[in-house]
Amino acid sequence: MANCNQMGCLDRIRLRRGHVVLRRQFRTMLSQNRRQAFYWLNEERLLFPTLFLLLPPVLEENLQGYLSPRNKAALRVCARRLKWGGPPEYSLPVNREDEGDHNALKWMFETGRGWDGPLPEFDAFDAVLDTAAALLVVTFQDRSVLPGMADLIFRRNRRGLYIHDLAWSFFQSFDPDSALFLAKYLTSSENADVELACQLLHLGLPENGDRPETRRDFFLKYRTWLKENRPYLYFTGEQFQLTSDPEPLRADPEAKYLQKEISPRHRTPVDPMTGEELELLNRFRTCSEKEQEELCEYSAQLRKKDRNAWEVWRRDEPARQVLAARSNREVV
Amino acid sequence: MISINGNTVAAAELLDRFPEDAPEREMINALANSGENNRYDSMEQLEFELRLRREIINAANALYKSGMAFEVFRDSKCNEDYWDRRDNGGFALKDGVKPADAIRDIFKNGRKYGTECATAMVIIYYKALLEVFGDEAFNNLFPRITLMNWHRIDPLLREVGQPRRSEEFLPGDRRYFKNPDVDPETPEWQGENVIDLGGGIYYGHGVGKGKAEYFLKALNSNRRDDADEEAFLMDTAARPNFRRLYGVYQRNAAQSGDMEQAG
Repeated sequence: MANCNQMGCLDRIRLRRGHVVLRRQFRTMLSQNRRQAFYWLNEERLLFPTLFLLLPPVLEENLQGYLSPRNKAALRVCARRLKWGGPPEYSLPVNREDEGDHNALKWMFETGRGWDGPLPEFDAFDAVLDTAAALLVVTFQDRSVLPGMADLIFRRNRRGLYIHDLAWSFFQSFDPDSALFLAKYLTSSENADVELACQLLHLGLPENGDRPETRRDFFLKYRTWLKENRPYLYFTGEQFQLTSDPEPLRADPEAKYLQKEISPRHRTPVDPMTGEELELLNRFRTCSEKEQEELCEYSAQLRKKDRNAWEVWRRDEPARQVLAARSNREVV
Repeated sequence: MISINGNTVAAAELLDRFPEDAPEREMINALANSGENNRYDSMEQLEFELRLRREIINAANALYKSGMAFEVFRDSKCNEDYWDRRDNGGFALKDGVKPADAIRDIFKNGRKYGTECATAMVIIYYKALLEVFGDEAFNNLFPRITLMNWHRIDPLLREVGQPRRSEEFLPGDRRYFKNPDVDPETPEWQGENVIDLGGGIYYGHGVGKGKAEYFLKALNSNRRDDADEEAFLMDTAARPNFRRLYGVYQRNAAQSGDMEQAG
């Protein structure tokens, strides 16, 4: 239940009496006391769903000039996404240099994501939220909204609603750690959550997956994998438009073999490759896919256990490296 | 290389079956010139693949002419005499409606439909299979169809949703133009699914028909302001499992033959 002390007067009307009464009362206020109407509409504590519901009457009366800067920014986002038309200054894109635009988007998303409004307007509202989220992540590189985005993805999925745009934006953060916000749903008691988490993280459903302890172990295993492979993880760009089975986040076997951190976004080494590393890589590439898998796992484990031994091992001939990886498998 | 039942077959032995400008010629040349050994158990199996690829191309051309609109999922639309529109923007076959009729309706009444590029590809595949298998077999094989990009795709068709890196590409392949620096306000332009029509021409729903440059230009004009990476054609292709589908086709044909004899 929303905290009535942290919302505006118009929000309280919406929550207590519904959106139809809200609009009716607001239209009455506009005609009888415009100053009061906009005082309440421009309240700092106002929640975005209320503004969204009241923008149409504001536009009908051509009163958008009375909106606060935050509300004007929100109007621009809505107008562009929903193609409302109107004066061009209310269809301008957000400005990545404008902290006011950034704050407005954040306000829209954070105060709006928990609202389950009336159809069919709710679909338009969802579309605007998706746009706000995408702009926050891509244009403003704001990762603080990622936990909320993850929660919204799963909530919508449970209701059979559209999630692809939100999922796409989520991975545009290029932040491997954000995978944990999705992974936490591996422990959910809702099967739909677990299935979606597996799909988003490209994991097979666990055996005996109905048991809470299985789900918990599954999550812990994934968390360990994420931590151990963090320096070598990169975003593939795979998403639902391209494939039925996207693997958005993957460990680069070459980076893991060389034990060299890469950029999650560009898949390029953080530090430039040395001549020796290039030579080692060329030799690594002569190995089969199975051998490469074995080598990169062994390289990570050996370096962690014994750095000196790793330095010696990695300079050895690839065939001997493979032998060592296979024979030392149990030891490491 | 093409080998049929263990014997290498030269392209020249196959090409004369098709007119000069037929896409099948390009398919055969690509298979024959490939560094991989493209193995077929029989000539009929190869012919089946060529035919299905041809029908994929035909279906792509037909969908291009159908009038179906490009719409993002939130704004998708369908003919509700045949399909139920789901809350996530996909279409589910209506109860009591024959799958063949519903698929054909998309091509006949295209203007009543609007969806995005990936779902358009799935529609193309279903139409191609309908032409190859015929109504009765199609209705039996695909009794429940959901059209929502690669989600809920029938298991018989699952490979079309899984592009793989490839060294060669053939007419009838599904390809993908990727737009890494897409404008976040228009994520539908993050890429474009296309069917390779042969002759360097592609069809992608929402963009149209043309050479690669045409698609690249369209995608590049939908990038964000600070974009520094251009759109590009991925070196991947998605294809149906022709071998599995041929097996199904053979079994259906055998059963139809048995029933005719019994009748």
